[in-house]
Amino acid sequence: MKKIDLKQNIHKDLQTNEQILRSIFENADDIIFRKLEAGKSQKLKMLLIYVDGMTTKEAISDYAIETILSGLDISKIQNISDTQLLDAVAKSNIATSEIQIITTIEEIVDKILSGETVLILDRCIKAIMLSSRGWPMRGIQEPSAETLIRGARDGFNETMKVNITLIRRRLKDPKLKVKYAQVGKRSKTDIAIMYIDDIVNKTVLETVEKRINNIDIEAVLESSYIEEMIEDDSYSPFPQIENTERPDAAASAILEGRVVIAIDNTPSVLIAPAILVSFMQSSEDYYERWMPSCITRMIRYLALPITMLLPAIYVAVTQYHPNLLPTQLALYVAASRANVPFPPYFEALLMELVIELVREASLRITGPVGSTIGLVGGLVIGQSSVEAGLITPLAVIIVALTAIASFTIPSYNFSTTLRMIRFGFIILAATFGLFGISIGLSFVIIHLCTLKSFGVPYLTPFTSFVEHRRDLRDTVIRPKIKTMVRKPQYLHTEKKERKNV
Amino acid sequence: MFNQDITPYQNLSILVMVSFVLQSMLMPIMLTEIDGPTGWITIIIAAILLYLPTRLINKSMKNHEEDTIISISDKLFPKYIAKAIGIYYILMFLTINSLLMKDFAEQIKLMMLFRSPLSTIIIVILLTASYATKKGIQIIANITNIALLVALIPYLLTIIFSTYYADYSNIFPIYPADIEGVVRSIPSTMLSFLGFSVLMFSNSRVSEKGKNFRTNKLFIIISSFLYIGSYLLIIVKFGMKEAANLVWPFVSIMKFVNIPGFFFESTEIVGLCFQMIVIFTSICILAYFTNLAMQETFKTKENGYFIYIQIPILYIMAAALPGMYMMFPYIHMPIYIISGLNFLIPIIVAYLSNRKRAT
Repeated sequence: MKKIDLKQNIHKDLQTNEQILRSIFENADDIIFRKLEAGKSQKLKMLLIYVDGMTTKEAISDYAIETILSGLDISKIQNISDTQLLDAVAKSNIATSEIQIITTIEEIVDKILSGETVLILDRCIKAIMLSSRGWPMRGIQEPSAETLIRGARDGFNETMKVNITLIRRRLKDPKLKVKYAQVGKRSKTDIAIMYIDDIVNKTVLETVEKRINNIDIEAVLESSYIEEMIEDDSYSPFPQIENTERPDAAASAILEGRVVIAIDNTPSVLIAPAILVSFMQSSEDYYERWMPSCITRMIRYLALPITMLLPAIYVAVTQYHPNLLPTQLALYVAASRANVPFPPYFEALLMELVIELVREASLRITGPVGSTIGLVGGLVIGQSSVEAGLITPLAVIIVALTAIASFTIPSYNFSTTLRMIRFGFIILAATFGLFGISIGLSFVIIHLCTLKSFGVPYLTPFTSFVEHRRDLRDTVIRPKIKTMVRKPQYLHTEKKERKNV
Repeated sequence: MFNQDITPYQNLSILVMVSFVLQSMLMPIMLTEIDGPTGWITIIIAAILLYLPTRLINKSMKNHEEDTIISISDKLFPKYIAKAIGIYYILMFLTINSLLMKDFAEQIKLMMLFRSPLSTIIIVILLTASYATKKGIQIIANITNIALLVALIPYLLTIIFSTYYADYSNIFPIYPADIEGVVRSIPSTMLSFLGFSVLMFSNSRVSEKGKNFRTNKLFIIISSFLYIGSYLLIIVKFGMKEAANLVWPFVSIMKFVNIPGFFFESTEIVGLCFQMIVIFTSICILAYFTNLAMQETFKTKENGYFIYIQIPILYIMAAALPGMYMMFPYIHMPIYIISGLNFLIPIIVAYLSNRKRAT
């Protein structure tokens, strides 16, 4: 196929333009080329191009085709230049809410593929873009991964503009800024960077923008593509950017001084920077009364070491340090292990693997079958394995407790990381007992200490708890909203206070 | 905005942490040196003595904000003296770190991994420490603060539960005090404030240098309190005679921790897990400042790769040296020398630096 220069300007001759565009969109049957001839005595040739299914046909037929065909009188504007002709058509005969004048073939192609309609006039070296985006989309539903007892039930969907609207509805502030960008050479995915101008840290904002602009990728199919391309350390198993499907969580992050990145075609918006503490918090913490929320958070922080270390501790204690256990329990463990053919580490690894298989299977198959798989996996396999003498009842309890603890962590990707690390800890415990766990823990702590999210240390405020002592208040406990008068110190926001706006 | 230096309080944590570890390691020397429970007098005297050079060196560092004791010496003395001072600090940090590692590895072997070879344990500790050391001062400071929160504070709180059935009359009699013993144990006590030697390097890496003197003073006060507290705890729990025979007093005291409803039986192993993180952090701190001393002495741009030189040296030293408890009868003279040099070098450097500024 002959290579077409997309950068070329629109030609004066409509037929040439049509030929170029038809060869660009060759074998693309969903691209509609609609030829028009408007004017009463004298005719003006026009070409309307759009993608079938990505546009609202009513908008095109009612506010463009009909108005042009019925209203355009070419005799009145006969002796004017082509630019004036284009202006006259755009101003008087197009009734869509948004129009834009475009000059190159590349712009025409981009706009058409984004769901807009392009009107090319004969004798004009410019074209008119008519806003006509519209496609079938999922309604606003509660995000299944972030359900709450108390709180808004709306969630983001796959349309970026809807997602922006959902945030704007919560923050009716003129200082809420939305900057558009486009990423993906082929996908040309729209991205919106949202922040509040007088709160956000400008260095963080510049870093976000710079990293997004530097992305060189073929297509962006999900926010995770962007996440991986802009995070500080893509080799780390720990997430460094938060994602949410909840507009209230996104709005709250913007208010804190963070940057929200909404991406078209995905309901997950990204929040940067993110620290460990942000992965342990849920929106509901602030919707319930502060005292129960404090307890909930403490339980969550208790779940963190359980998720990561409990099976490893089981292995270390049973294999290396049985003297740690109370005598009665040690005797019980020894008796229950008497008929089990596997060593404790193998038993723990096996059960953890089973749990991961069950989890993965029930995720892939949703609905009643999925929950049946969960039940079958949890009850039948566990019970049968104990009865068959393959594993000890204590191992089942340990693994079940670990799985439950992992579900209490609000961030799915953070809890997934902890679950994966757990296997490493089991191997270390099997090799060196509690010493191995300590060494593993040291490695994890060192790694977390090196991590940064857009310049903010990942373990803030724990790593500088004297300087950031104010931030410590909203970590393991949830302070009263009345007392949360300042923005997080670690973000170095422009405006420091939440009050006196 | 997001500074790469450490904060004043991170500096304080580093100094307190590294001192606490050495204090617990050198505690038996003090216990055996003094005939009577008056070791706390030694600690107070040592703290007061250390205050003087701390003040002087902070005064001279006002003119050399980015300089460590080695780079200040380099500006004051002929090159070979500055090099000698640098090499002294490198050797001191290496020796103390290898002793610490050996002691730590022996504790682990004896209490946790009876069948694992000591060398394997040392290598594992070294490799983990090298990973942290290569990352730089800010990461070391972050690790220290985390270790302070997750290990040192719970560790100290747990120890408090060992005071059941303690005999508080053990802290008496104060009079007649064994003055000779008190004086004799001052050098080892001064040496156990290892943060004093570390601050000669760490102060130059602090973001707000104006707060250095304040945090250095706080370090001496906090470390003294911790030292006195630990000393008295061991005395009230074991009594002088028994305490003097303890190889690892802190591990011994963990055996007597009695927390109502506490699940685990061998509390010393739980304590050792906390202690492991504390000691491990101190090893990282010392390894980093050895790197820094090497960088200053040999005038290189980076210091991260010096850890690869340290690993074999530390391994050989830790493997070759006998355990601390076996060395106690023979290390009095080395302690006097090291402690004396640690005390005198900063004083001389600070004095000459201040005099040069005055002229």
